[in-house]
Amino acid sequence: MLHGRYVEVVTSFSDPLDLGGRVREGYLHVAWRDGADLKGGYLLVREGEIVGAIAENILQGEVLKGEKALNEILTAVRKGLIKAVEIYEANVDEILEEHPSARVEVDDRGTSGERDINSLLLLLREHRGNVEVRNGPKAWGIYVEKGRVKAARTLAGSGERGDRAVKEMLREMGKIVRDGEYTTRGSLEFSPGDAVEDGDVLLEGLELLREKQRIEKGF
Amino acid sequence: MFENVIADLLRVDGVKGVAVVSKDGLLIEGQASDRTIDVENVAAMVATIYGTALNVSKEVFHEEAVDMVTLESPKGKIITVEAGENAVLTVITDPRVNLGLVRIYLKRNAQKVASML
Repeated sequence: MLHGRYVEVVTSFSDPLDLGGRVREGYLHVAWRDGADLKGGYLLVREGEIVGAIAENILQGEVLKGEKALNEILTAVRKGLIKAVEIYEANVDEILEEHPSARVEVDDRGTSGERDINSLLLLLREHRGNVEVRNGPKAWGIYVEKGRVKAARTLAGSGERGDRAVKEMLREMGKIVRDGEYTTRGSLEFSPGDAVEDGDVLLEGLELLREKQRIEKGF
Repeated sequence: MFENVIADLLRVDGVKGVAVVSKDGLLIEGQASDRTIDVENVAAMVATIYGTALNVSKEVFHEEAVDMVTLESPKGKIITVEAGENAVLTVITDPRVNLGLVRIYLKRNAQKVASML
């Protein structure tokens, strides 16, 4: 339980993460059922950005903090398991002092190889806008909204558009994560032919790749 | 829909079960950390206890209003508060629970339930 001033509970929303903008500084408290488990989480927000996360299995008493917690909560959001969001005003710095490992940072630019795959997953889940991905002579531009790809095209290479561009990028994802670069800066324009129908496939592919890496590392 | 409320109360030390119950005894949503507790059965009985308490209040105090109903047994407590016009919020606890803390959390969460129904 985190300290803070209760503001309101919201049950009608398209994306619970959008509610972070309703307080300048504080947290969103969410809870959901995952099979027989009851899970809960706190998303610490400042100026509409997520700066920390804590998730817990209420019945088992297990607690996750930081990126693992954020992943857990964002997965529940994506599955539509969260029905209500409580909004609290709070001093985020104080909470992060008490729970330093809850801190999360979402970088908007970098070389994939410098980080693990979680950073790219976090960026895609959090970001709403363009992402430019480069790997050697190949490059792709995508428009993403909270983990769902809405439009895509190649910027260099084969000239694929839409779903085919996403699938081509997925085929290269192992190399992109290892050696590639991505950025949310710069401007990209998309046309109707770039629309993506299967918008979840990129995130699902990345999650599978992460599982594969975990298995290869022996967890 | 009331996962937040249930999670918030189950985090309190000594709370073993939580239920949001309609005043006619139907379980709206509930969860127990103790598998021996049948939340659905408790829901029906709690609504009866609450209804009886309202009748007693009307008879004795000439006002049909109850802030909180507490049942204390050697093995634990059942505490129930009104949560809006048509529901009550109830917790099942260990006997040595911090009653003050539970009351604060119950009142706070009853307001949330009332605003959500």
